[in-house]
Amino acid sequence: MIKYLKEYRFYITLFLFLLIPVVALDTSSRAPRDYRFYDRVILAVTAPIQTLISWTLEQGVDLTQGYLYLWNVKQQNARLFEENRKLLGQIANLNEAQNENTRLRSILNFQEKMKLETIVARVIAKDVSTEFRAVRLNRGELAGIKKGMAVITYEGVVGRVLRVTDHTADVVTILDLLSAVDTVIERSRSRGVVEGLTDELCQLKFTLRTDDIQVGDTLLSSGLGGVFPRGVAVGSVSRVKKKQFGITQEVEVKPAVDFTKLEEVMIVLDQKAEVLEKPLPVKSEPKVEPKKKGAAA
Amino acid sequence: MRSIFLRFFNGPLFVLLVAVALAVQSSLFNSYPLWYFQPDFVLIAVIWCALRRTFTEGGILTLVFALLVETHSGAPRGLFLSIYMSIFLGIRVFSRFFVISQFASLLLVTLGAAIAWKILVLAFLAAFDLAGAQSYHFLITVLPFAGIEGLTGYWAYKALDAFDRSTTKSERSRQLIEDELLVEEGI
Repeated sequence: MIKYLKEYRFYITLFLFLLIPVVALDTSSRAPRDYRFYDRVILAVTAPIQTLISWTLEQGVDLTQGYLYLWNVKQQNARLFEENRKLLGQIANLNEAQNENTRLRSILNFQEKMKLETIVARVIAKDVSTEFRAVRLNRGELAGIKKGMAVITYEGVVGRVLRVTDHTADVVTILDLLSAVDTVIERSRSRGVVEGLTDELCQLKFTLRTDDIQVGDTLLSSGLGGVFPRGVAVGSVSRVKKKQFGITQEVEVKPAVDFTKLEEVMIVLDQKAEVLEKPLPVKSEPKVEPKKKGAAA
Repeated sequence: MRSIFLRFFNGPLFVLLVAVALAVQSSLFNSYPLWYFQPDFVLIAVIWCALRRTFTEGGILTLVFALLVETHSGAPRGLFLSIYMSIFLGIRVFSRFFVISQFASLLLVTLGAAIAWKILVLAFLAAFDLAGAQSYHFLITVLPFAGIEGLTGYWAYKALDAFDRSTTKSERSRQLIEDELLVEEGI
């Protein structure tokens, strides 16, 4: 037996190298993969580095912008009084704080308006592959974040929590190929499922050809599935392509959130919260029964 | 003795190095449009394993590196395991027919592997009906990705070579260790 094992060692190893990925391959299921023990060990090493690099970059950008601004101010101040120069200097120092305050105030206003129980987290890393569009946040289980929670900004829906560790959370954004959000069009009340398409666009699927959808229509989360609160903006229709024949129509959606400038997000802790101050009217006959995709809402 | 000790820790240190590189990759290239120009350090490490490690050791390291990537990605489970293993085996087969001894040929292999990596991702996604508009994404990202991969590879391979030398893993170091053992055993 040992003789054969030694003789065919190469082929056995090759077989195992081929077998392990095939066994692990699970693309048919959209259920999020939980972190295992070894994943947590890996993240314990890499997450602090990601946080440190993100923080350093942020400080570097702030410093550079502050320096450039001050340099311009210095040029202008040559023609101004000493008092004005001091004031401009103060403005330069306060500028970044003001920007941050504006962003945080927007978040606070949104929280108050929506009556949601949320916590704010910062994006520290993106997916290592450009093919997938997940982001990592700097807060995790210890902050109360759980798998499947909705992630939003004051602009709209960002995605849902895929998996968490004590100090980090991975969020699969609505741009991701594996994302699906049940939505309703604000104007016509047509329903559909928004799925990721490219780095900038999503697609609205399972809409009937007869559904009234126009470019510029706003899409809101329907609340079905229990992940996303009802009435949060998902995006707006950017292109509609109706064929002469067929059951459905092709609809492209521009996300409400600008993912290129995503810095802070809110994680919705209370998933049962009603978002809209004006509840959505309930339709007597639903037009489409969208095919659900896995665990996504 | 020190050489054997260093050689023993080459594998774990290599894994740690790749984990740190992944953390840098995912956070340093976090912002738009830098995101499109992020190199894949793991691909470079896999190519290095395919050409500078034994079949078993290289294969095991490839599986570990792929697991590291899966921890840092929202991709479906097993996708990167399959892709990186395909790249590893492909380069092993390729190296049977072509001599990849020079540094320049190593860079050419990197360029080819980067393009093959993108094609494999597209093929796997298409096979599971997840490709969507990825063919467009593939077209706009494949050349910048291959270019940046080759550029990074130039420095990364030098660094990995230095790492192997310092941990006495290179061919020359292995020969020295064997000689050392022969002397110790009095042969």
